[in-house]
Amino acid sequence: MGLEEKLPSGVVLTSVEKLAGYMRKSSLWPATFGLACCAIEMMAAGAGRYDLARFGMEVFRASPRQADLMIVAGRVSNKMAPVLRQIYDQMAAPKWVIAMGACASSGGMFNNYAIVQGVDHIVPVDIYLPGCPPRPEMLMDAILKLHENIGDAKLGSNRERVIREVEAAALAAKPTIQITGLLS
Amino acid sequence: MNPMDNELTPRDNEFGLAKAAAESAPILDQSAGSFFKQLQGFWVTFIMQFKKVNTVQYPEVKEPTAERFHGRHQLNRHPDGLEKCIGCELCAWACPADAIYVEGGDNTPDAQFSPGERYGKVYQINYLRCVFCGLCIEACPTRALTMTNEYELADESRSKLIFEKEDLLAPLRAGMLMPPHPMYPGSTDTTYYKGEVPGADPSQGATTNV
Amino acid sequence: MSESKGSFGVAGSGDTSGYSGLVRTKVTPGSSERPFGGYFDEVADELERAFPEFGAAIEKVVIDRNELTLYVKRDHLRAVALTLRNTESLRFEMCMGVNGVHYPDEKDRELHAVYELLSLTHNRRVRLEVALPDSDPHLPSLVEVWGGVNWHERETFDMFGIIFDGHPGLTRILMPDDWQGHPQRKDYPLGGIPVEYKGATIPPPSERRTYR
Repeated sequence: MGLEEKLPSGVVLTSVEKLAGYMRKSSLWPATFGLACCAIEMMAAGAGRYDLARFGMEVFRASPRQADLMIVAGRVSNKMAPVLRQIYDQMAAPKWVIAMGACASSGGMFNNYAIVQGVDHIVPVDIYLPGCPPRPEMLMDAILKLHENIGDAKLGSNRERVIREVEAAALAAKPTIQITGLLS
Repeated sequence: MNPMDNELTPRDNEFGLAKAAAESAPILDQSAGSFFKQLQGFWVTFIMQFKKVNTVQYPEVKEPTAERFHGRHQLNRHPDGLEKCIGCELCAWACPADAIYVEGGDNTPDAQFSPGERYGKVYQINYLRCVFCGLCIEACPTRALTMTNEYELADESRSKLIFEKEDLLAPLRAGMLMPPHPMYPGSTDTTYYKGEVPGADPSQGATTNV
Repeated sequence: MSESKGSFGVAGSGDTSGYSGLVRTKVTPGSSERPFGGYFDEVADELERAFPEFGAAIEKVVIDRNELTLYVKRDHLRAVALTLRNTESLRFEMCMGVNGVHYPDEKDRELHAVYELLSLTHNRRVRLEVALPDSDPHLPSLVEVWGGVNWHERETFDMFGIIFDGHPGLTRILMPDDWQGHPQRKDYPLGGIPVEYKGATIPPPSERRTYR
């Protein structure tokens, strides 16, 4: 991106990271992607009683270039999937995705031919939020959890290291079907 | 002749835009009365400054939900700590989203998890699928499965949102004993369902005071 | 008369388990005799007067649940529709839409198209029903008669595969353009994926439950 990519990892980069993380998380602008009933709760979260403006997020941008966070609120049909992916591709990095509600996270109760079984099939999802629909507090809880992650985000050489570690952990992790737990 | 009598001619444009425009009243009113009407409107905006603020400061202040709010599930226990779930899978059958997976297991004299013959050996709820409709609660014959008011469930990966039995089980309260342990002395499963078991008896094992 | 098995449509037994143990007998209403009652007689008379081939065009007249349904042969559909719209005493100016129905058991009458007509002038309603074979699902388009059925015909084409000849742009309207098949047909699979758990899966609903 800029200077921070060239800094050696150390005190300077860490403080730049903290500053950048603080600024990124304090003005996270969501893209409007309301598709169904979850969108109503998303709108409620933006309105007076819950007031997302307290977190610097009151501007729901209809233009993807000006947005950092896509809140996929509602069920994504197979016909909508390419549109959603295009909106995501048009957003400028760094960008984040919240899968809001059961349908966006996994297809929910619509386990059929018409619905994408979770938006993580088409875009990388940072936070999954269950609920049908989740109440505005649940959305704000998800957003705050995402804020924590954004605040801790790494830059430059630290970022490359984190990416390598995450990659290694993902390769080593067992798929859900192999996690036996109480099953024997 | 009526224009509709021709085979495919549409009706004359007698309800067209021109007619609507001619009949409608002028929208732009620039009289003095209009100015006071606007002032009246701005007065509402002005007076709102002195009203009480409606916002709930969410992460710091958590307003309690409605009493019957459908939140995260909980698997309840009998007063002596034995699980209420009998592994009958009725909740899984009732679920419209197939979000519950249950496998029953047999209680043995060495390992008694619930009163009676069977207990829920594997109990998983996929919160990505769950729609919090509460049909599982209605289906449960022993009131083992209920819903709490807890709603902060968001997480980062799919596997973290598949809750297992240990995530769902209610915590041990005072006088409860961690299963497996034998049933209350001299009791049958009917005694449990009648609510005649007061709490764990010393003969069932050492009581943990939580 | 036909039988259906499944969890839906059976009242009074208290069983909602969905193990397809419930059997329901469905009765298809047969042709009705005169007098039809209400304004139905008048509508039939006026149509017969204005449309001399009434006997050849209308297969049967059904009165069920206080509603009038005319079963029309598809070669006469356009002429019947025009007569219903243009005749002064009938004046069905409005078509509420086209619906499709799929009866896989009816040989050579698998697909039905249903038109709901409304007369604003006389405050009357009539339903037209056309049966057509699955092997030849063609029907004359009524867009020129009622412009509003344009999108409804596209939807019926999309969901049932009925081809409306003469439609200005008969493309899919709900499903993606490259979709295979017509989802509202009874033999179309529900689809879905297994629900994942730790160490287990639950098969998709169409394989686990009976939706028939």
